[in-house]
Amino acid sequence: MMTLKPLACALLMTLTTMMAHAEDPARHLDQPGPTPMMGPEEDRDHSRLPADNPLGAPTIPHRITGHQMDRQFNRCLSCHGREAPPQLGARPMPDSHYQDRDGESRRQGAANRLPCTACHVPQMRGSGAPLGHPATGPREP
Amino acid sequence: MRRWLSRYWHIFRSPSLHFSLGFLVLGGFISGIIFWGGFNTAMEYTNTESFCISCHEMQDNVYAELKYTVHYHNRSGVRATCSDCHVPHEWTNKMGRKMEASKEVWGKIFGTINTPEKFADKRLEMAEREWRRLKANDSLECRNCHEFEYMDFSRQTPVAQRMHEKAFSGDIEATCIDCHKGIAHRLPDMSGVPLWPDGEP
Ligand code: HEC
Ligand code: HEC
Ligand code: HEC
Ligand code: HEC
Ligand code: HEC
Ligand code: HEC
Repeated sequence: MMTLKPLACALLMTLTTMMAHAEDPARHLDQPGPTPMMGPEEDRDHSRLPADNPLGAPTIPHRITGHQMDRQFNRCLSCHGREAPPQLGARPMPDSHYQDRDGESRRQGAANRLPCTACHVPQMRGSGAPLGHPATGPREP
Repeated sequence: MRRWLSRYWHIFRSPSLHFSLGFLVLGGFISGIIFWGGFNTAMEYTNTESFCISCHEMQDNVYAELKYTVHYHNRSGVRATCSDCHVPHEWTNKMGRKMEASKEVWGKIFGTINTPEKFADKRLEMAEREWRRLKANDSLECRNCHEFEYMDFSRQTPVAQRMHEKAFSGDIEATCIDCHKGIAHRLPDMSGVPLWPDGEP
């Protein structure tokens, strides 16, 4: 009788572990599956401007929170400038942006000074930065 | 002089008459702890943000700018302080950085960046040193908090997703700072400084 006790114990333990490992139909529910895209989405409920107004500046389909835009550095150009790598998938600014009001090409680097958000505004659901958001920081004098 | 020295040497070497060996060992042990602790407390203080911004050079420019970035103020309320990004956490690296920091005390005395103009003039040079450091340690400080491995790319913006996948899979040789300059402070005039890694991402 005394020798059976540990045996029974071991058997019970094996059984419970086996039960725990048995195929549970709901098991896949706590496995991570492919997650749907959840990044900040463009707000498509409101048509982007160019559709309505061919001369309008297209709205910005991504977050621009905190983007530096002053006379030292313009972050927009790191992706939309001419030297930006095409793999980023950001369209380069049109030639119009490099011309002055007489249609002459601006001198090198002048596009840096363009205040992009004077014409382009983000149109985002959720996390877009409204104009004048404190996160864009103080403007350089 | 020699005699004087050798007399002290003798006292120093001869066994203690008044204190037991045990007492001496224990006493040495305890005072060791106290000194070591004091040393570490001092080290810890120099890691705090209030220490860093006790110099107006650090407060007026870089700190003021940091306040507008995601690393200071964000949805989740987790933030990075100066030393999270600027002082390596490992002890050996830490001492190395502290030695370098003495240069800053020197700079303070001689006012290398004590006006906004001087700061602006010197900014690129200082930034370049930081980029070099982060490049050399594979952006160790960033990776103390962020790792590709735990990023859910599918929750990132499409550009971020594409770039991170390439960097993570080793398609391109790049570390965080190759693509994320100006993450915590404003950038100086960047003409001539690559904003993306060599050979394009
Ligand atoms: C990290 C790179 C990056 C930065 C920085 C960036 N953009 Fe973009 N931008 C993109 C990409 C990629 C697209 C393509 C659309 C998308 O994201 O779905 C885009 C699209 C746009 C468009 C829409 C163009 C079209 O085809 O209709 C505008 C306008 C725009 N960006 C303006 C800006 C402005 C203004 C800034 C600075 C405040 C800026 N961008 C900063 C990457 C960037
Ligand atoms: C004076 C207003 C104005 C400013 C300032 C301005 N843009 Fe534009 N932008 C426009 C207009 C209008 C268009 C569409 C017509 C065109 O192609 O010129 C446009 C088009 C674009 C496009 C879309 C190109 C395409 O092929 O669809 C991008 C990208 C862009 N701008 C980026 C920028 C960036 C970056 C800046 C800041 C450096 C900037 N813009 C500053 C008015 C402006
Ligand atoms: C005694 C005043 C003082 C304190 C305290 C101080 N700094 Fe500085 N810091 C300076 C000065 C002055 C310089 C410019 C040094 C020079 O001329 O090279 C500087 C430069 C820097 C640089 C640029 C480094 C480089 O390689 O050019 C960094 C980064 C920096 N400080 C970070 C910090 C951090 C982080 C702390 C807190 C742990 C801190 N500082 C505390 C005065 C100070
Ligand atoms: C999220 C990381 C991060 C935090 C937090 C941070 N820095 Fe920096 N710091 C950087 C990086 C990266 C650079 C290199 C230049 C750049 O990319 O902007 C830099 C550059 C600097 C410079 C050189 C001048 C310049 O602007 O390039 C100083 C000085 C400096 N930091 C001090 C500080 C101080 C003081 C604090 C705390 C108030 C702080 N940093 C917080 C990442 C950080
Ligand atoms: C102390 C931890 C910590 C360190 C160190 C740190 N970060 Fe972050 N970082 C964060 C947190 C927390 C957030 C996001 C907060 C949020 O969005 O809620 C963040 C956000 C970001 C973002 C997103 C920016 C945006 O606009 O949403 C980038 C890019 C980033 N970090 C890059 C870096 C780089 C590059 C470094 C190294 C120079 C670095 N971080 C160092 C904690 C850290
Ligand atoms: C090959 C270039 C590249 C490298 C290397 C890279 N990133 Fe990024 N990362 C980007 C781009 C482009 C974006 C999107 C634009 C932006 O937010 O500036 C981005 C966005 C982010 C974001 C915000 C994601 C979102 O969708 O909100 C975080 C956080 C971030 N990066 C952290 C890191 C960290 C940490 C490292 C190093 C382990 C790193 N990145 C390395 C290019 C890169």
